[in-house]
Amino acid sequence: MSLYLALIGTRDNPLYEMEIKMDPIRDFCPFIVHSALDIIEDLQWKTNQLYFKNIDNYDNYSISGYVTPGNIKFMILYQNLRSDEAIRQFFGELNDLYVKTLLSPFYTINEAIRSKAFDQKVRMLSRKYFNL
Amino acid sequence: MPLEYDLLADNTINKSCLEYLLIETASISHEATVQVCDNENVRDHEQATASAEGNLTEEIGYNIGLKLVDYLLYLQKGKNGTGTPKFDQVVNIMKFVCKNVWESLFGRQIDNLRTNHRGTYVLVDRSFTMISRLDSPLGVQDTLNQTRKHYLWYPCGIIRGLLESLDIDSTVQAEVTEFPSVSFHIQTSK
Repeated sequence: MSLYLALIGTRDNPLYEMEIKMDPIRDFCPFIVHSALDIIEDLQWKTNQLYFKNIDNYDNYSISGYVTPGNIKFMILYQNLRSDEAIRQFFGELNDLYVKTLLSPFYTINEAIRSKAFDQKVRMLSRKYFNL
Repeated sequence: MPLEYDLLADNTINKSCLEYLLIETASISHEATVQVCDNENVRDHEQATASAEGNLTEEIGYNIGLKLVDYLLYLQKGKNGTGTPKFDQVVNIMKFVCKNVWESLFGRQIDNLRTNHRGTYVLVDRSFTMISRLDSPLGVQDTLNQTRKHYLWYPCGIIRGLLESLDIDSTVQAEVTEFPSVSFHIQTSK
C-alpha cells in the first residue's frame, strides 16, 4: 500500500507533498499528478461536488482529487487503497487543516505550507484513515 | 427588574472591539503615511498621503478577503464535499457576498444589489455598521468627508480580495452620500 499526496495551488504550484512507501515510481509522482490536474480542471466546472474519485490511472496506480471552494486541489496517487469512503473523509479533514492554515495571518494564499505541525497532522490522518 | 442579556453570546463585545480596532487602524495608517511622506520629501504631500494611506488599509482588507471564501464555505457545510453553492455566474457570487459575507462580518445583510448585467454591480448598505457610530464634532459634512477619506477602504479591500479568490478581477469603490448609507460600486471584467 503506497500513497502520494499533493496540495496544489491556483497557479499549479505545489503547496505541500507527502509520500509513503512510493519506491518504484517515486520520481514520477509529481508528473503523474500534474497531468491529472487537467482532468480535474475540466471536471470541476461541470459539477457541484468537491470530491472526484478515481479520475485517472497510471499502470495500476489510481488518482483521486478534491477541489476546495478557493480552487486549491488536493490530489492523491495511490495503489491498493480499498475504501473510497475513507479517501473522501480524509479529504474532508484535510480541508479542515487547510482552512486552519489559512486562518493564520502569517500565511499568504498560494504559499508553500512548511509548518511541521501541519505535516505531523497529515501523517496522523493518513495513519487513521489508511492504516499507513 | 435587571436587564439580562448575554453579551458574549450575541457577539456584541466582538463586534464592538472590531469596530474600534478598525477605526484605530484608519488613524494609524494616516499617521504612518504622513510620516513616510515627510521623510521622503514627497512633492505633492496631500495627494500622496491620501492615496498611500487608503492603499494600506485596503491591502489589509484584501488579504482577509482572499481567505474568506474557503473559511465561510467550510463553516457552512459538512466536510464530505456535499457541494458548493453554484458560483457559475458572477451574480450568484454577488448574492453570496450580500448575504453570507456581510452577515458573518458585520451582522446584517446588504439591503440592495443592483447590476447592469455587464460587469457593474452596486451594493447598497443602508446602515453600514463600521461607520454608523462615527460623529465628527465639526458637523455632518465633516463626518462625511472624513468617512470618505479614511474609513471605507477596508470593506472595499475585503470585497476585492473575495472576488480575486474566485478569479474575478475587479475594482471596488465606496461612496457615502447620505450618512450612514454606503454604496459600493464594483466593476468587474466579466
